[in-house]
Amino acid sequence: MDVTLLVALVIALALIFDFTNGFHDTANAMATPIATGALKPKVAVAIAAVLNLVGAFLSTEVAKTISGGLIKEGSDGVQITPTLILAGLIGAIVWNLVTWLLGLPSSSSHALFGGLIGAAIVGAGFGAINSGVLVSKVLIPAVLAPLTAGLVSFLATKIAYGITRKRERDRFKIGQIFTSSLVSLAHGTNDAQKTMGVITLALIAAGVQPTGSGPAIWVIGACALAIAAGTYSGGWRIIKTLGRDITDIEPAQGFAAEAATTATILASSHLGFALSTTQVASGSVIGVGLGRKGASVRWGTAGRIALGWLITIPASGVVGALAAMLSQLGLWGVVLDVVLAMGAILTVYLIARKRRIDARHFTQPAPGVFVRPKRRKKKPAPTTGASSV
Amino acid sequence: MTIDWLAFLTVVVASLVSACLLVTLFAVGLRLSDGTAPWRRPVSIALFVVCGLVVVFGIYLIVPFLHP
Repeated sequence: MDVTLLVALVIALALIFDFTNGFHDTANAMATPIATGALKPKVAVAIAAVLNLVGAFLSTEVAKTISGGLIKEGSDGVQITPTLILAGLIGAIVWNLVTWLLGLPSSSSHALFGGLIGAAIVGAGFGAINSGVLVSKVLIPAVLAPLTAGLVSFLATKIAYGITRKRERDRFKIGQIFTSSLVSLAHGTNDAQKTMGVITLALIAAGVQPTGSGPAIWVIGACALAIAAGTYSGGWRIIKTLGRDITDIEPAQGFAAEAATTATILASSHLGFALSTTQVASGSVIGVGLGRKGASVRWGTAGRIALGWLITIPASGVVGALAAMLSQLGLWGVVLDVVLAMGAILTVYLIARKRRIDARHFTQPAPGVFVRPKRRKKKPAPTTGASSV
Repeated sequence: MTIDWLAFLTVVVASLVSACLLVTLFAVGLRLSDGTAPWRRPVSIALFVVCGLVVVFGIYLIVPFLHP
């Protein structure tokens, strides 16, 4: 079929994926400041959007290596074609939307990898997949990421509550603004690049761009805008899960969680052990829930999230594989693929509209009042007490 | 399948130390800003400045062309 049309479709779907990536991951940085009232919901997503936009222009290192390793490409011919990339993207988009609908903070990168893996298996057989790389780069880190972040944020919470007294803790909110912004910036420098990498891969596979070249400037710009728009639209369902449903978060905990998330992400990206931002952020929230006396972690919610992580790669892989099978029918298969994908997007959108969750669902605690005030004992201070100490 | 456990351990230790350091600095800063003794305020401001520097270091780590 017409290569230009195919590449155009890949670019369009890649940008849609980038958009879902944006709203899926707003929660990583902004769930905790929204939960504690450090930032108003709309302000929080606006900051995250701007930082994602800026971050996308800062680096193209990840984009250059996106396809390296996981899917064997190149050497003995075309194993990954634009059609397969298209199928993989459909798998990733559909799974990202389903998890968003369920409010599950799952990793967008895993969805993308899963979709591409599924498509590659159909297109080129199981030989196309580096299973060793899959285990060591994706599965084991998925277990280690929340454990690490949880441990760090647990200790950070203990320290924060050990040092400060109750009436001082409200001002952790000021710190939260900075730490959550750091998480956002780090996210922007990483995630938009995955889409840039995919688009560049498609352009290279179609022979439009020379092998080994980096993303073109219009690709960088388009990806930056798509992820920023997605971030600004706010994945309120996931923000609710991460900020409200796992545990009740006070400002000191929010600060500890974001400090742990930032530290873990930066350490992992600079010391050569890649961890997923989403899993780190979720682990941090669980850690602060365990770290504050009197707080409780709703393990049912945490379990649902963990289950979501487990099935992300297989599920988006299955969708990607099905899309790849359809696309083997030729032009009409590809068209049918795209039509079905649009149908899926529309269906999820319509279901989501019925049970809307948006910025207005986040009634924030007034300054000085904690998330779940307990009955005060003696002092008639205007600030009702936290449940700890 | 090879896991670089040493790299992982480095990541754990580095994130543990840096996150706890930042939280400690900020928490002590908050604690000291809440008192009457004249020396407390400048010390707490100094601590917040150090926190700011930690954040700047974070930005330095995030932005690639600041560190070749």
